[in-house]
Amino acid sequence: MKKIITVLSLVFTLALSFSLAGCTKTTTVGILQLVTHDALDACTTGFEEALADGGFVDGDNIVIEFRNPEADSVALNSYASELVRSCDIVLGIATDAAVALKNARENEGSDIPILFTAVTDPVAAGLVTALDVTDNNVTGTSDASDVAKQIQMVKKILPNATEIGVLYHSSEVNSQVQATAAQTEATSQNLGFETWTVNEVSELNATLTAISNSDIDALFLPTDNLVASNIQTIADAMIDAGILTVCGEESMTTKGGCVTYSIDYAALGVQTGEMAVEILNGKSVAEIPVGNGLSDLLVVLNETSLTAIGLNPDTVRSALQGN
Amino acid sequence: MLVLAQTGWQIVTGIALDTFSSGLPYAMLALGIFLSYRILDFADLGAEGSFTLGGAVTAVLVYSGVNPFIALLFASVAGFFAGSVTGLLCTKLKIPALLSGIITMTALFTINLVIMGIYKAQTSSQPFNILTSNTNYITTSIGNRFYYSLYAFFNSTLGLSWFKPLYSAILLLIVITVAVMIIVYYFYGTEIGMGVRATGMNGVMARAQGIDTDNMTILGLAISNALISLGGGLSSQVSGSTSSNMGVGVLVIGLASIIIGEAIVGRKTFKRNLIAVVVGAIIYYMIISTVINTGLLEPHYLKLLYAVLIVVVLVISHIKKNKKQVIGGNGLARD
Repeated sequence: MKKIITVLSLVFTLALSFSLAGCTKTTTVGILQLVTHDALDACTTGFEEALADGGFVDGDNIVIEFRNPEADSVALNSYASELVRSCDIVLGIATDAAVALKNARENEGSDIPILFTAVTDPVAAGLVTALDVTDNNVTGTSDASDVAKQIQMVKKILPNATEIGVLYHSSEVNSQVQATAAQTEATSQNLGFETWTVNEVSELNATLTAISNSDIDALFLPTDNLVASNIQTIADAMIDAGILTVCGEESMTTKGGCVTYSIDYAALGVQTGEMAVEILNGKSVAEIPVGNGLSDLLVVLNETSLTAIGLNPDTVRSALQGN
Repeated sequence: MLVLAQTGWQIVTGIALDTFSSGLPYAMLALGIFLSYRILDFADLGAEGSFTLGGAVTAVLVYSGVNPFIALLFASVAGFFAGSVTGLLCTKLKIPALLSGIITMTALFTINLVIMGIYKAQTSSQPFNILTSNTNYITTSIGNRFYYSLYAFFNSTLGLSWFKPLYSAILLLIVITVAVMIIVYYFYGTEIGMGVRATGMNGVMARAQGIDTDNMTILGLAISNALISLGGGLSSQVSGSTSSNMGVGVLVIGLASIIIGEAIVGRKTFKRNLIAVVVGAIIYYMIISTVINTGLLEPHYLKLLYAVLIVVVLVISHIKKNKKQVIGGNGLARD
C-alpha cells in the first residue's frame, strides 16, 4: 500500500510541476486532428487561415491549441477531455475526433461550441440532429461527395455520350445506394444506363469482357471496396476498350481511373474556420447549418489514362472547370 | 500565481478523472486476461475480439432501447459464449491454444461487423465513404449510458450543479469493479473455481484428482471473456463510441496492467493478485494520461512509451525476484 501511495504521489507531483505551462486568459481555440494525413492537414491549415482572416490571430488575440493523437484511441479521448476543459471552442477533424469531443463535452457537463470537418455522415455519427438542424451546439462541414455531380461530368467530357454503366460488388449496400443515385442522374440527362455487379473477384474478368463488348461510353465506379482494390485491372480493361472511367474517389483516379471530382479539404477547412469566426463574434451555433464541400470540388484527372483513350487532358480539364 | 495554481489543479483533476474513467473499464479487461493468462495459463488472443464484441452488443442493445445495465449483462453473456468457443476449439477439437484464440478473434471480427451493421442499416443517411466504410462506428448518446440516471439524480434531484456526468461514471465503475472482484474472488474459492485453478496449475495432476480439465478450461475461458466483454461494454459507454477496431491492442494493455500490478502490489495470494491487476491498470492509465495532459510527449511516441514502460517494470520485478524468494508465486494460495 505504501508503494502505491508513493507512486501516486510521484505522478501527481510530476503533473503539478508540468502544469505551470499553458495558462491563458485570452480565447482558446482547440483543434483535435485524428491523424496526420494530407487531407486532414489541409483542413487544419484552412481553418487557421480563415480564423486569421476573420481577425483571430494565434498568439495575438487568441490561442490555438493543436492536438494530434495519431489515431490512438486512448490519447484521442484524453486529448478530447483536455481540450474541452481548457478551450472556449473546439474543432474535431475526422469523425472519430469530432465524436470524441462531443462525448467529452457531455461527460464534462460543459457546453462549449464544437465544430467538425472531414466528417462524411454527421447525422449517422450522432453529431447533429439533421444537416440543417444544429440544435446541440455542434456544427461544421461534411466531406460527403455527390454522385450526381460525378455523373454530370460524362456529358461535359463526351457531349455525344448516349449510354453509361456502373460496376460494383453486389453485397455492398453503400455501392448499391450510389448506383441508384447514378441511375437517377443518368436518366435525367437522357443517358442510357446499364448495371454490372460482381459477387466475387473471380467473376471480375468475365464481367469486364462483357463491359468492353457493350455500347457504353463511360463507366461509373462507386466507392466500392472490391472495385477500389481491383482498380488497376478494371482501369486497364476500360482503357483497352476505350471507355471513360468516372471514379467515386480520388485515389481510384490516381491509380488508373480517368477522372473524378474530389473534395477540396483546404476549402472545407476555410469554410469551417469562417463558421468559427461567426461563433466567436457571437452568432448562435443553431443558426449555422452543416456545410459541405460540393461548391469547391476539385477536378482530379489521370492524364495517362485520358490520353490512352484518346482524350486530351487539357480539353477535359477546361470542360470540367467551373463545375 | 493564483491563476497558475488553478490551472495546475485543473490538470491534476483532469488526470485523475481520465485515469479512473478510462482505466477502470480496462481494469475489467485486465481481470479477464489475468483469469486466462495467469490462472488458466492460457494465452487467449481472442481477447481483442471479445472486447469489441462487448462494445458492439452494448451499443446496439442500448440503441434499441434496452436498459444500459441489462445491455452490459448481455455483453458479458456474449463474451461468455465467445470464450466457450475458444475453449471448445482447444479442448474438444484439439486445436492449439494460441490458434484457438486467433480463430475466435478472426471470426468475431466479422460477427462484430454484422452486429454493428444491423445498427448501421437503421441509421445511415448517406452512402459511406470508402475511407470510413471498414471502421464501423456507433455512438451512444449520454442519456442512454449506465451512469446517466445517477448523474441525473445528483444533478437534478439533489440540485448539485457542479456534479459532472464523469463523476457518476467513475462512482459506478468503482462499484462495478469491486463487485466483480468480490464475485471472482468467491467463485474461485468454490470447488468448481478451485478446479479451474488446479487445471491451470497442473493439468495432469488435476486430471489425476478427478477434475474434468476440458470443462474447466472451457469454463475458465468463458468467465475470462465475459469480463473482457464487460470491459468493452463499459469502455464503449464511457467513451460514447464503439468502432470495429476498438479491440486492437487491448491484449498489450491487459498484459501490461497485470505485470505492473504484480511488480507493485505483488502476487502472493489470489486476493492480492486481483487487487494487483486493478491497481496495475489504474497506474498504467495514470502514466499515459499524465503524459498526455501535461504535453510531456508527442503522441507519436506513445507506443514507444508503452514498450519502455513494460520493459522497465519487467526488469524491476526480475531484480526484486532475485532479491527474495517469492512463495506461492502463481497465486494458488489464498488468504
